[in-house]
Amino acid sequence: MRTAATLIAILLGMTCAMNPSFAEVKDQLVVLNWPSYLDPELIERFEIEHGVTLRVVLYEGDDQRDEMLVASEGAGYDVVLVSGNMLPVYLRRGWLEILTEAQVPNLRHVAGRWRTAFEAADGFAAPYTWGTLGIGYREDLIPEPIESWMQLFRPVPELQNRIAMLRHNRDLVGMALKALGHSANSMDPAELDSALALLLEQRPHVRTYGYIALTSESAMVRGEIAAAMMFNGDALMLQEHEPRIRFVVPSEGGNLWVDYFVVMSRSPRKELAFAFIDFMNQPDNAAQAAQYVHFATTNDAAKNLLPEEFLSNSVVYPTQEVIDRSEFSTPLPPKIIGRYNSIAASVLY
Amino acid sequence: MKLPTKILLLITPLVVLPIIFIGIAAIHLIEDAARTRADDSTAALVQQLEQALRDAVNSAKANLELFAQSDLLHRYILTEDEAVRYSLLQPPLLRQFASYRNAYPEYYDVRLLTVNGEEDTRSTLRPSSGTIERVLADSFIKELAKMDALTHHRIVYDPEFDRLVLLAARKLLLRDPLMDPTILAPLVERGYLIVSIDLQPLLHEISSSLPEPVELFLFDSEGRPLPIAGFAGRETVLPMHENVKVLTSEPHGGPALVKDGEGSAVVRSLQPYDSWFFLASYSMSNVQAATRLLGVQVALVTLLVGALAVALLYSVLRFILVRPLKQLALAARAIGDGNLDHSIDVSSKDEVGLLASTFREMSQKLQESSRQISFLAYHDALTGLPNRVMFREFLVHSLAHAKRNSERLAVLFLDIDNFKKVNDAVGHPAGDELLKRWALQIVQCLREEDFVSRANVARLGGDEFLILLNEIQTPYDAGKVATRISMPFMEPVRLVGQEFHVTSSIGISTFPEDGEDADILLRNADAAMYHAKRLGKNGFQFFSQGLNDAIVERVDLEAKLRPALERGEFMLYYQPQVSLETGEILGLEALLRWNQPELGMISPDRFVPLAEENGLIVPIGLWVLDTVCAQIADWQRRGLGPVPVSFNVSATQINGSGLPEALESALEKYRLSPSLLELELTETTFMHAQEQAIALLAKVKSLGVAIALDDFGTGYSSLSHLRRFAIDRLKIDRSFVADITTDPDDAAIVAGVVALAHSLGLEVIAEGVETVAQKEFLLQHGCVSAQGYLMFHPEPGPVVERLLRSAAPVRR
Repeated sequence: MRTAATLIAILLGMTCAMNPSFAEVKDQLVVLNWPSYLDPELIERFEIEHGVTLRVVLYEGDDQRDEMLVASEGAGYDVVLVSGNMLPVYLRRGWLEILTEAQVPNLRHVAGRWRTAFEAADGFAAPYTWGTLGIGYREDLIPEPIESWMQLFRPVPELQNRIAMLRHNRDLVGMALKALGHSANSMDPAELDSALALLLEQRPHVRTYGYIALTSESAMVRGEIAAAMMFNGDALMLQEHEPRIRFVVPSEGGNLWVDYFVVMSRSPRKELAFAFIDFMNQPDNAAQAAQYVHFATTNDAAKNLLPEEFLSNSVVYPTQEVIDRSEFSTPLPPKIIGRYNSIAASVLY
Repeated sequence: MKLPTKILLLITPLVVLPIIFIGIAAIHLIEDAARTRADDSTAALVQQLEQALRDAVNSAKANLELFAQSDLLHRYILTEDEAVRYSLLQPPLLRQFASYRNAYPEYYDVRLLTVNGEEDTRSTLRPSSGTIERVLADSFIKELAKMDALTHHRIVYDPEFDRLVLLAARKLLLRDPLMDPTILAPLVERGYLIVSIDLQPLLHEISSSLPEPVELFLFDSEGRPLPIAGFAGRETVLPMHENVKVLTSEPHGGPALVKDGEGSAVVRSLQPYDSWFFLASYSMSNVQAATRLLGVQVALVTLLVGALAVALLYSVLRFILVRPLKQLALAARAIGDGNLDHSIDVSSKDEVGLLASTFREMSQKLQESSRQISFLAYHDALTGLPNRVMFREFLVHSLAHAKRNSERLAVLFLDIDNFKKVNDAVGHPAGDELLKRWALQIVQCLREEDFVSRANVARLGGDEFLILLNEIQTPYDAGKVATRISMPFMEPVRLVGQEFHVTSSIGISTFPEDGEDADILLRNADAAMYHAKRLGKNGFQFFSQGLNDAIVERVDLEAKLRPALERGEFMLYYQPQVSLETGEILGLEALLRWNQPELGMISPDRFVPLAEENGLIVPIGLWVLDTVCAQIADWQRRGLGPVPVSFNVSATQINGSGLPEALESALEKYRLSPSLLELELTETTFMHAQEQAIALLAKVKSLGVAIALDDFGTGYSSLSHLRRFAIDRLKIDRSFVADITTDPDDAAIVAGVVALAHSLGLEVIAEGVETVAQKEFLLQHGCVSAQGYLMFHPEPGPVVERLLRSAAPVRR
C-alpha cells in the first residue's frame, strides 16, 4: 500500500516536473512587431522589472501582420505594433483593447497630435514612432544617387534585380502612384491602372517583395540589394553596418506613417501589456528606444532627452519640405482598397 | 509460235490474276484496316478528350469545394464591415487565391463574386478576356444562380487568347455564425467562387501524344478552325460546310470520311457545347500513300512475275511441247514424204514422249507396210517373183547400163500354152501350183546358165513371165536360154492325178537389135511371143526375123552337131604342105569336115565355133587326134610315110582338156613317133592362154610334138609369146600372102615374118599360096614351105594317099 502510494507520488511528481505549466512559469508577454524595432536592452529591463518574459513575434510587413492577426482573429498576441492607418480597421474588427492614459499613464508624454493622427488612435493605441517611407540605397553600387521613385521603378541596369520592394499593398501602389506624380491615395481608376502598369513594368527587376533584414547580414549590407523601398530609420540602422547606405525620400514624395502599440482585446494579460506600453513610454525608455531604432519618437518628453545630432538628422526628422510632399495613407473606400489589393496582388502573385 | 502463245494466253492470266487479286485484296485489307484504325483512333481520341474534360471538370469542382471550405474565405464573406473586409481580410484572401493558382497553374483566375454576380476578389494571372467576362456576366452566373446544384461549369472558347477555358463555379453557402451553436443557421448564398481553367495544357498533352495520322482540331460551329495557343496543329482546310451540319448535329458526330487538302481523313466530332466542337481526325493520306505504293508494288511485282512466268513458261513449253511437237510434225511430214528413216529425237517420259514413241512405232509399221507394199508393188504375190512394174524398172535400169557399156541384153516373154484349159481342168489351186513350179524351174534354169551373168524373172500375171537377160554375148544366147527354159517341161506335168503336157511360147526381143526403149522391147517381146504361138506354140521366136532365121539355123545346126560325132558325120581332109623349091610334100594339115546328111558339107568355120562354145570341140578334138594318128599309122603300115600331120587345136582344148595325156595315149596307142604330130594353134588361142595352158604346151613339147602358130599376124600375139610358148613353126596367114605382090606393106610383113622366123630359128610356112608370083616372092624371101590351092587342095584321105604314093615323103 505504501509502496503504491509512493510510486504514485513519484509518478505524479515526474509528470509535474515534465509539465512545464506546473513549474514556476513566468508570465510571457507576446509582442507582435517588426524585427529590430525594439531595443533588446529595454526588453530585458522590462523583463527583469516585471519578472516576466517578453516574446517578440516578428512580422515582415504590415500585410503580414494583418494576415497573422486575421489568422488568429487577434488571439495569441498581447501587444501589437501596428501602423496607424490600420487602427480603424483593427478597431472595427474588435481587436483593440481600450488604451488611454488610464491604462497607460505615460501616454501623457505623447503629443496630442500623434494620439489623434489616425482614427481610432485616440483611446485605443499608444504612438511609438513616426517616419517616412522612401528609398534606401547603396550609393556605391549605383551610378547616380537616387532622387526619384522612377529610379526604383525603372531601374538602371546596375539596379536591376537588386531591388527590394515592400510587400505592402498601400505602399506599393501608393508609391507607384507617387512615382507617376499622383497621390498615394488616388482613387482614380486610370491612375491606378497606370500604377499597376508601372509596378508590372518594374516587377522583372525586383529581387524580392519583402523587407530586408536590418542586421549585419542584411542583403543590402552584402550588396545583393542595392536599393529598397525602406523606412527612414531602417536605413540609418543599416548605415551602422554599411556606411555607404543612403536614404532618400524621393522627389515625388514618400509615405508618412505613425506606428502605434495596441493591446489586443483577446490578450489574457492586458495589465502586463499596458505595463509594457507604459514602460516604453517612459521618456528615457522612449528616447533609448528611438535611438535604437533611429526613428523619431512620438514621446515629447523623450524628445527632449534625445541628442542634438539625432534630432538634427534629416533622415530621422525630415524637413518640412519633405513632409509636405509626402502623404499619410488615408482611409479609402472599401472598393478602392479592393482595387489597391487587386493591383498589389497582380504584382505580387 | 501458236501453241505456246495459246497456252501462255491461258496460263499467264492464271498466274497474273491471282497476284492482282491478292494485291487488290491486300490493298482493300490495308484500307479497311486503316479505316478501322481510323475509326478506333478517332473514337479513342474523342473518348480521351471527353474523359479529360470530365476529369478537369470534376477536379475543378473538387478543388472548388476545397477552396470553398477556406476559413479565411468564410470569415471574409461573413465580415460585413467592408472596410475591415477589404483592408484586413482581402489581402490574405488574395494571397490564398494566389496560392491556389500556384498549386494549379492552369487555374489562371480565381475569383469571388458577390451574390449579385459582381466581382469582389480576384486573383488572376493575366488580363481578362472580354469574351470570358461576357460569358460570366451574361449567362454563366445566372445559370448557376438558377440551378439547384452547387456547382456549374462551362467550357468557353476565348478567341482573345486562343484558348479553351473551363469555367467552374461554386455557390458559397454559409451560415451566419451565431452565438448559440444549438441553433443551426440557414445556409445563405453568399456569393460564388469561380475558377477559370486554361485547358491548353490538357489539350496539349492529349494532342502531343497523338500518333502520326491522328490530329485534333477545334472548330467553331461554322466549321472555321479555332486556333489554340501553343497547340501544334497543321493548317487544315476542311471544306466542311455541308458536313458540319452532319457532324455537329449531335454531341458525338461521325465517323465520317471527308476530303481535305491533302487527301481524305476519317473524322469524329465532339461537341460538348454548342458554339464549338472538337474534331478528331485520322488522316488517311498516309494510308492512301501506302496503298498507292502497295498498288504500285503489286503492279510491279505482277509485271515482274508475269514477265518471268511468261518467259519461263514460254521456254518450258517450247522445250517440253513445242520442240517435240515440231519434231513430230517434221517426222510426220517426213513419213508422209516417204522418208521412214527420219529419227524422232523425243524421248521424254510423258505424254509427249508417248506420242513420240507411238510415232516411231507408226513409222516402223509404215516402214514395214511400205516395205510390204513395196514388195507387193514390185512382186507377184503367188510366186514371189518380181512383178511387171519392178521388171520394167529393172529393164530400164539395165538398158541404161547396157547402153553405157555397149552390152547386149534380151527380154524374153514367156507364155504358158493352153494354161486356161489346164486351170479349168484342175482348178485354180492346182493351176497356181503349176505356175509356182514354172517360176521355180525358170529361176533354176537361169541360175544354171553360166554364160548369162545376170538374169531376172518376173511374173506378169496369169500365165505370163518376163525374163531379162543381161550382158548376153549374142542373141543366140537368148535363144539357148529360151530352149533351156522350155526343156524341163518336155516331160509331162502331173497335176491332181492328171498328166499334162505343158509347153510354152517364148518371145525374145534384144537390145540393141529390137529397140533401145524398155517399152518397145517389151512390146516387141510380146509380139514375138504371139508370133511363136501362131507358129505352133512350144517354141521361141525372135522379134527380128533375120535373127530368127539365123538363130533358128544356128540352133538347128547345133542340134545336129551334137549327135554328129556319134553318127560319124565328121571326116578329115588333108592339105599337103609342100616345099616351094622341090615341090615335095613335106607334111599334111588335117582339116575337119562335117558331112551333115541334111545340110551337106559344112565348113569348120561354121561349126567349130559352135563346137567350141558348147564344149563339143573336146570330143571332136579327141576324135581328130585319134583319126589322124590312125591314119598316119595306117599309111605307115602300108608303106606310105611317115608323114607328119598337123591339126588344129582350139583354145578350149588348150585350156584344160587333158590334151597332153590324150596325145600321149594316142601316140602310144598307134605307136607313133611324136614328131609326126604337130599342133596348130591360132594367135587368138595364145592370147587367151593361161598358165595351165602354158604348162600344157610345155608338156606337149616335152612329148616331142611340134607346135605351130597358125594365122600368124592376124591376132594379138607378141614376140614374147613366141618365146614363151616354144613355137616350132610360124604359119603366115593367107590374108598376108594374098597381097604380097600387090601390097608393099603385106609384102614387107611377109618378108619380115620370114626373116623373123629364120632369125629365131623357127620354121615358116605360108598359107593360101595361090599364084606363081606369090610363090616366087616367097622363094625370094626365103620361105620355102607353103600350102595352098596353087599346089594342092584339101582332099580326103584316100585321095591324099594316092598323092603320097606318087610323091616321096620328105623328112622334115
